[in-house]
Amino acid sequence: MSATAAARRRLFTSRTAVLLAALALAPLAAELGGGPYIGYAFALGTAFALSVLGNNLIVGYLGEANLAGGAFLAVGAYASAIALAHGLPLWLAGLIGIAAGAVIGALLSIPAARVHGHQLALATLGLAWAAPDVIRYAEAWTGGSDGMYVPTSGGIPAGLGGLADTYVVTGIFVVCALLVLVALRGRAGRLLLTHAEAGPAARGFGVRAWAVAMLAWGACGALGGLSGVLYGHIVGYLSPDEFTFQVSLFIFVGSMVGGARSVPGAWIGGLLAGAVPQLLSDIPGGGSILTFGVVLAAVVALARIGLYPSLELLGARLRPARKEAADE
Amino acid sequence: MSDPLLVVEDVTKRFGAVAALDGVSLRLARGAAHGVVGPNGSGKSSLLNCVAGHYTPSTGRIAYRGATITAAPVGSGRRRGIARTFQNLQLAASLTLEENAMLGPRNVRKESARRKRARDLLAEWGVAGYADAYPPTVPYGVRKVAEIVRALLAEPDLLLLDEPAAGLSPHERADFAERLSAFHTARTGTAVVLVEHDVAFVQRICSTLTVLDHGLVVRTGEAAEVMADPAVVRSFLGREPDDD
Repeated sequence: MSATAAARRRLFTSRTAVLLAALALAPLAAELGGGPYIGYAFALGTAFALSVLGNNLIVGYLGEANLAGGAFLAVGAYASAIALAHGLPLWLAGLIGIAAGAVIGALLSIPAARVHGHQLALATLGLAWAAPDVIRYAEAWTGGSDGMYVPTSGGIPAGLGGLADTYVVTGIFVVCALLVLVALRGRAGRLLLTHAEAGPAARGFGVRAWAVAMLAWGACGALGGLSGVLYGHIVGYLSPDEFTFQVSLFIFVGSMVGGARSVPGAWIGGLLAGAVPQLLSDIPGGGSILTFGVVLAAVVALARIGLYPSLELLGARLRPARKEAADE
Repeated sequence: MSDPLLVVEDVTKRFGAVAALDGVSLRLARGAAHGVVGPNGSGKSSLLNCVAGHYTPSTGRIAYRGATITAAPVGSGRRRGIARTFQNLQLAASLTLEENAMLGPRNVRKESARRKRARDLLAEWGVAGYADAYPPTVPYGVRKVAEIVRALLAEPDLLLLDEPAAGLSPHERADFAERLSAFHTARTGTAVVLVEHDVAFVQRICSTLTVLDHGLVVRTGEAAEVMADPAVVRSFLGREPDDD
């Protein structure tokens, strides 16, 4: 068995341990090193990482462009907040947020099974564009343009942030990332890749294209919905202005920058999509967007296959050199 | 021929004004090996695509084990016991050859069992050393073998091979023909439809042939008789056989 294929099949490697340790220490480092605001931005970025993780299933595995990440986020955030407002417990409200995202994702898979490439990208763009107006239109439920506060539940206050919240969000990301990894390394991942890269063979061997698309889009929607549930809990207030097309674009960019087939890359992409814009927002005028754009352009130019895969590649290139040096 | 496995009856497939197949008929007995030859664009692959369900014929009928499958969905072929390879290789570049082959087995739920079957058959076909390699990194001939292995893992009653020897060196062709012939001798229950340009290759495996040209059947029958037909030679050479 070649080293690459064997490593790809193994889930728990020394690299996984390093990544888990980094995830365990990062919230503490963010909070202690940067203060509560940095900790807050970190939690927000990790919540976004779930959206990026879902988006990776579409971009990295199905090979399609998804520009509806912000819409899934909005659906999850509002569905769980509305459920909380109706007195449902937090766990149930969370499940409703995830389910709502999954349903929208699964529905989107119906046109996605028929149109591809830029046409599908435009369809998802339409959903992202429509989301703020739909929220405003459903004023009786969402508070319209005035927005709505995310109610507290079970003694867990929304919008508090803090280290405990950050660890909860990080823990949820780790669990979801492991679930996605296990699924992708098994039959589901194989079917997704065969469907995307050898479509006629997949169809010829009985793989149902609509089922694969529904699975991927449903999972993407569910992860986006969960991301929204956590977003609502961290921020504590929802408004249509928070779910503009720009959010979808940030999530898409997060996939591309982190590495569209990389689970650790999803975390990096999430931090970039969710935390960096927050941290740059103090720059006056249009400086924050300009700085974000410059950072993105630099990352894309230096790491075309995504940041995490580029780091892996660099590590693989350095390893023989280090071994040779040690041998000498 | 009593109780044929496959019947293709007067099948026409049109793409706009172009008829890729024009009234093609074919009967195949269980366990038989039948070659389909003809120049480029003669409709060989279109015929295979119609039988496999990738194309729906414009007119005509296709029956398999007595049941009409003319408009059956493409994925249903595998359930019925039809497996195929592709003229343009269809292997997922991000999966190893073993993982690609694991798509093949029918009615095997356990992952470890699928993996073992794929690995064993890849070894049987002499490419075990490439099982963990990715398609773009291995020689073309190895990729061709991987496609055949994937199809064989489905344990088909009807195996459709679309130009399996195209792009191979003469040595690889000879080896391939020997392996296919040995497989067909060992698996007497599997019928084979072999589409190829290389008539000599086809004749090593198939005893009967159909020659297509511009979507029409030029001649069908015993291989030696078919190849001796002046109309067949004309369709291959583009001139009368005794011109020189």
